[in-house]
Amino acid sequence: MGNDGTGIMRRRREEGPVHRSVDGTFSINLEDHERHALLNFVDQLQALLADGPKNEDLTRLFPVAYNANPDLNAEYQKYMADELAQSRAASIETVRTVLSSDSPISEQQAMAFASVLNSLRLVLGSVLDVSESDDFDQIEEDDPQFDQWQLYGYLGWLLEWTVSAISGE
Amino acid sequence: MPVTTPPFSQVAQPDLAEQVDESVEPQKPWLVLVWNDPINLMSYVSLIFQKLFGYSKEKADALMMDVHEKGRAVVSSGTRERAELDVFRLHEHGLWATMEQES
Repeated sequence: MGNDGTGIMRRRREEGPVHRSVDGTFSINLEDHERHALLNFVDQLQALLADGPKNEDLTRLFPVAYNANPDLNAEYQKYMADELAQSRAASIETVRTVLSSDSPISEQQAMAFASVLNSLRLVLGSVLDVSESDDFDQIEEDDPQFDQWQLYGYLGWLLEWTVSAISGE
Repeated sequence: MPVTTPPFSQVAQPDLAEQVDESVEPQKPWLVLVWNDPINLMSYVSLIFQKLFGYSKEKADALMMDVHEKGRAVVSSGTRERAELDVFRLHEHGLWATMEQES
């Protein structure tokens, strides 16, 4: 009478990978290999962020604030770019904690999780040059970027569940 | 002949009027815009509007649909400092936000 895993899979289909409990905490039901993979991507994100806005793949993470006024924007970035990087670093640390244990997490931690998943999608989406007409179900297996498209889809799936748990849906 | 002070209206009023012009004339508000992009999920964008601005789900969904269909939407407005803070918080969450003074 061992656990063949079908119970886990069924629960995952029914509740999704992110679940809100009645006490307002959240649980993340991911397999160990998923947690390890996500931690690995988070490490890569942190390494990329060390490059700062110079890296082209990170343009979406460091957007222009004053698009009609380069001088005001330069002034804004002078003060805020570092603060933005620090805020991202703090969210990444939170997500490391979240992914390193099975313990229930707070809504604030769930929001950091959503935000970091979104950052990963922004970087990957920039690398893949995603457009609104892209349908990643249509990407062929022999596409050189097939794995990245799969990952992009996976992150979107996980983020969608996280958002829906936080929204209480 | 007693020394009298000039009537209030002759001396004080021009100064007062000048002060009023400088300090009370309303500044045009700064608008915070969010732009459409092909990466951010619609549900995520709506959630961020709810969490950052305290908007109802209905209002956040409507703003998100405006961004999606019209390419951009004004999501908040106020002083320049307030708008910078909102832009920063939107950037923290990966939304494509900019600000400009109302024309």
